[in-house]
Amino acid sequence: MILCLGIGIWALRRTKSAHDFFMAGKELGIWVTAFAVFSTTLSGFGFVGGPGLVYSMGMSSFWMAIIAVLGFSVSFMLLGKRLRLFAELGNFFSLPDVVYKRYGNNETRLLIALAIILGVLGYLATQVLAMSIVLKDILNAGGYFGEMSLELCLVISCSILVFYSVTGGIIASVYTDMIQGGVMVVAALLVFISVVYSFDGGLMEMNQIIYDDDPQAIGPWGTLGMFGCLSWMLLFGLGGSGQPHVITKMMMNKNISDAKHILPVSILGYLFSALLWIGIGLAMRAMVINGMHPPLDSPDQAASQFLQFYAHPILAGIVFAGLFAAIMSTADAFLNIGTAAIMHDIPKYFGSTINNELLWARITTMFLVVVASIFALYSGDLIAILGAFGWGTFAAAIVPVVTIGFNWKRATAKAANVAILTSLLINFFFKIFKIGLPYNIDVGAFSLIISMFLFTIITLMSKPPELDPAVEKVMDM
Amino acid sequence: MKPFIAFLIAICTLILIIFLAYSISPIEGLTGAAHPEFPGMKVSPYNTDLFSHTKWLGYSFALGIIWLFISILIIGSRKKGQTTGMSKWIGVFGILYSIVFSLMIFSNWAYVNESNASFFGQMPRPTAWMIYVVWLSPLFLTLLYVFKFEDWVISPEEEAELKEYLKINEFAD
Repeated sequence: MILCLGIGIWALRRTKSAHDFFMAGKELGIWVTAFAVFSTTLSGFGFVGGPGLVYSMGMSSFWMAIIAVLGFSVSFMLLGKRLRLFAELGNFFSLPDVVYKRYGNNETRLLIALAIILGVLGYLATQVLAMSIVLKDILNAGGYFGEMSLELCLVISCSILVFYSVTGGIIASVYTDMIQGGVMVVAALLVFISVVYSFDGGLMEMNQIIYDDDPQAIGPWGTLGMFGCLSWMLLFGLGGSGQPHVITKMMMNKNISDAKHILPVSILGYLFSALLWIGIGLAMRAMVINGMHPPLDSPDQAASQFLQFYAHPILAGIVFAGLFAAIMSTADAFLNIGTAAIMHDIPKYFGSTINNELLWARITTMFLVVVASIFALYSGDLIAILGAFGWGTFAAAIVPVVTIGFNWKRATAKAANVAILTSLLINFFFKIFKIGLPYNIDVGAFSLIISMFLFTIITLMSKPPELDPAVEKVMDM
Repeated sequence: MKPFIAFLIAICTLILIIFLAYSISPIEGLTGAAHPEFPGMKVSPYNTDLFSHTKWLGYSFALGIIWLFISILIIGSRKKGQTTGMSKWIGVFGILYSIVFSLMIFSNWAYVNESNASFFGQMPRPTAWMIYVVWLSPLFLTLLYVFKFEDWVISPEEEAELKEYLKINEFAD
């Protein structure tokens, strides 16, 4: 927490304009951008949710990581160069700004901004809640402050988040990402070694225990089944290029050619960090089956229980610090894109501009934290719905419009608007009415397929649009 | 235009498969069931690969998704609407990736019918295919991107030309 506050103060000195606040002044180096890309993608999920899913489903959730190498390559091959080239065409603050430049249509800007706000609200509330739970666990485990309530921990963690985000903007987020990413890589390697040494027979014994209990759990499709795993492969592989908090970072690097270095560093960072995810998840499943550890109350306890009982206390401390930093920087990244959508993109749609954008960006950031905190405490199931809604919605709304549309001159604004609206409607409708697809096919993957289909068909049936000459020049490169 | 036709065919294939999956009556336990002893843990009493209709449908779904990825990558590798040298290598990768993915699936078809599976690299064989081959093989694309960046993605001359164009047209910040 002290480190995060320190980074916030340091970043304050580097944040002199709204452009610095939202886009880091397009001055980020290779290592900072690369670590920011992979650690923002992984966020706190890799520490908590990932191991929990492996504990619960066996190998199924590992498809989210398996497809990462291909997914990162897709993101960079389609957007690494293209978005950075677009960033040269103006003083953009946000993804909707760039989308407006590409399509020249205000409705497209508004719809992308709305999709971002809806996704951000869910994601942000879950991050705030996770941050408060982690802080509560840490403080109560120490026993120095008596029994801390969740509400008090939420106030403490949100105060730090507000200070850190309001002062440092995106610069604070990316530099915390770099530190957190480094911690994650080192910790993951050490944790994986702890996993191997937790069993006399190493990985072989661990896998054999799981196999003897349920052979499918350690097979490639786990317990979710083939269709579910493949739909995750599509959603997390292709959908990565539709996550606004990740792809906006592709516009922040200093040089266009930096992309060729950023891609391998991001992939390697992700590969190493995934060891923590699979290692802890499988180890806890095997330990519980074998009677070495009592059954968990919730799968999400897999990481904390392993670290508490089977890892060196210093290593556990490092991982928890990394987890806190991960949640903090991801929350800041969401705050950043959400703030840009509210105080920049929506007013632009109505033809107005805000004076002193930096001041208003900071006020909006505070407002968003308060809303997300209230939401996290009092919205009940809605938070889970919006949290789950986040990745799929971003993927279905943004992949056709940005990933494909920025590489296809013929793509039209009408097709983009229909794709965004469809993605929002399908995701909300299926989630709210709890409609499932056959064989565990993910709703997000389904909405991504449908929105890409409509985007392509409508574009092919429409007259090719007339493009701004600069946009055409950039799209030809 | 060809990559977009391939892309559209891949999407239509996936939509068709999802609707076909709807028409197949669900088999209980095929998509996981609660573990009889440990709460929060799931088991899979049955597997898609045990049933001929679901195993071929699942295999087609996998190939459709790979086809979709490859067509999108080819779309992204074009310059001035034309495919480049990179597009050909992406096509080669697509064929190789389809083969290794198929081998993983075929290995799993054998695995689900074995009473005592053999392990390779400390994993059951299909999982070893998944971890050691399917996971790492896309690094081929990464290497292509890194080492052929100037040739096929953007050259320093193109970058300089763009900067000049932006300067003339006063786009620079």
